[in-house]
Amino acid sequence: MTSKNFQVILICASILIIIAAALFGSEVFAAEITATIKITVCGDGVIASGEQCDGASLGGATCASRGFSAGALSCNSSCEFNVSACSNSSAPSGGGGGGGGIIAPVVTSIVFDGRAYPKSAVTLLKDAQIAATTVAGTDSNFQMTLSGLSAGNYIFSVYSEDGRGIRSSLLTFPVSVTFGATTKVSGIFIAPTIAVDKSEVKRGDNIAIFGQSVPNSEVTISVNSEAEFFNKIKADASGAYLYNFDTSPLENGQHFTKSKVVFGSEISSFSKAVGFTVGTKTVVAEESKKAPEKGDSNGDKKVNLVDFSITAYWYNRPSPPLSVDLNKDGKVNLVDFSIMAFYWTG
Amino acid sequence: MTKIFKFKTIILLSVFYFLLFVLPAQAARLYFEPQEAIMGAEKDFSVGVRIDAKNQINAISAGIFIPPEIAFVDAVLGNSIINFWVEKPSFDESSRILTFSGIVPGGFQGEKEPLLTIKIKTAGQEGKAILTFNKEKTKIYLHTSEGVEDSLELESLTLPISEGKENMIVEIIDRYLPEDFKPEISRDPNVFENKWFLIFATQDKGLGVDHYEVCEKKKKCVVAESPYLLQNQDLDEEIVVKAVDKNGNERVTAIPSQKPRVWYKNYAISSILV
Repeated sequence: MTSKNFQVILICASILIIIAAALFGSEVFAAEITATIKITVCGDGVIASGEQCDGASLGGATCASRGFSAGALSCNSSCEFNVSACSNSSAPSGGGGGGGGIIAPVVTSIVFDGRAYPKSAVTLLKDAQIAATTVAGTDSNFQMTLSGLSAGNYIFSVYSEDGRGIRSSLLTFPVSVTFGATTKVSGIFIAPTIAVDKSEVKRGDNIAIFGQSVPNSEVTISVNSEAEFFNKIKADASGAYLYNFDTSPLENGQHFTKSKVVFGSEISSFSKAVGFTVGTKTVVAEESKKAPEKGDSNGDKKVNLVDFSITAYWYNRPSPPLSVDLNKDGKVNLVDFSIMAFYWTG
Repeated sequence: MTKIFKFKTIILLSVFYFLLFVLPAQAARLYFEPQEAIMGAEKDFSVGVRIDAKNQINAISAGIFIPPEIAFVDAVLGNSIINFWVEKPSFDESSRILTFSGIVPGGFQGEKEPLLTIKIKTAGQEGKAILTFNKEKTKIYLHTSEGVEDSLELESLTLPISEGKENMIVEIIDRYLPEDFKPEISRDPNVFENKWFLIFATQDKGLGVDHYEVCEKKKKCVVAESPYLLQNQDLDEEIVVKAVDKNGNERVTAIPSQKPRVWYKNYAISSILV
């Protein structure tokens, strides 16, 4: 083979590599998970998906189309048909006297619908402070309503705690609340919880990766190494899942695992990543602690406004304590606040 | 040789294409809104500071240079995506830089989201003014456990100043009280020598919270910031905390006394009255 031909082959190969990289690159980005949260506004006069009606907009429906013979169909504050003024009486009744008008109070509210884990505690944060808590049903569904809000932009977050007390990652989303309307946020799918049974595992031994999500859902477990390993498993009737991962293909060193869930057409975001080391010995992991790893400066197992205030007290002051100097660089600055925001529980 | 040259050109073009289109532009973008406008010489002119966060971020600090051709009037915080301010907006006359920083706990990803609104006005001279972000003071951190900086795209705003033009005033009628909030009494060995302090924070979706006042019973209300060292360390009196927005709307919250009042304190007051 002449050197000229070799050069041509080399160049062609380079082009192919570039094209492959381009295709691979776009595929990777396309494969990124997008957990879709749907936001509809009840009270804006527009019938959105999931609404039967909205204000005066009845979508052409009448009492007759709802199976009644007479009356006036209306729409309630939840954007569902109100058939209380519909009737099946055939003979016209005498006209009654006009009632006094009652002005309904203007309510600005927001309703959250989603999935967590069966019987799990679900916490809702409004602008980073706890606004409501509830317990999910046995089917893992939950609903929460907040009212008395102002119109404007809010940042809401939800998280849940499974039966073992393991907390999920925060699912955060901005919502613009409309005055006098009910905003409905649906499709919330809290990421599964995740834990491992060993903090260090002897290479070749199994490590148990477990957690909880929606009953009978399909759980995808990712183990990050030089190459990423994906394994699928089905959660049981209580939503619990367990996967014994063989660590033979992993290099010695630190690795991370995370999981996501598919249930019907819905897909959760990835759970938080949990670390473990592959090495020469096996060390059993401590029972997953309820306390956040960092940011809990007063030791109450929460990262919230109290911790923010304690950290703010030390902002730009000399010799801060280690409980607030989260990156241990001898000062409290925005980096420490960023770390605290990551571990926030409200 | 010509063939090789052609191939080299193709490779270079491919690499260029790869870098330009395949690698995603993931930097956060900070910019002003409106992006184009002519500023009148009279009345205040409002400029929004906005963010497009393509990655999930949780902490923001910014420095905005306001040139001498224009005067800084105010910073409006209402509706900001920043939940807690580490440094409230503060304008330094000598450097002419407006600085602020804050966090969004739990992280945030989105486009065209407001950070704050700056009110400015001109000295009445025609010309142009350029608002720019100070690169050293402007940083955004990703929502990670390590406090990693995100890459940034900073856009400046050129404002031609025209004497004849009248600025459109978008008057925000803020009739709403700041959001309901629950102050907490706490103590910590690392803060105020383990003395009792008060913490509080809320949002106002209109013009933003202007200030807080703490009223310890029988003492004058004082303008306060969280954390606030309580004067009455016995915690035997009710404490009232007011969040006051820029329109003067007040949200008032009371914390009942934490301990029963000891008998001699009442006796002492009665003696003074007699």
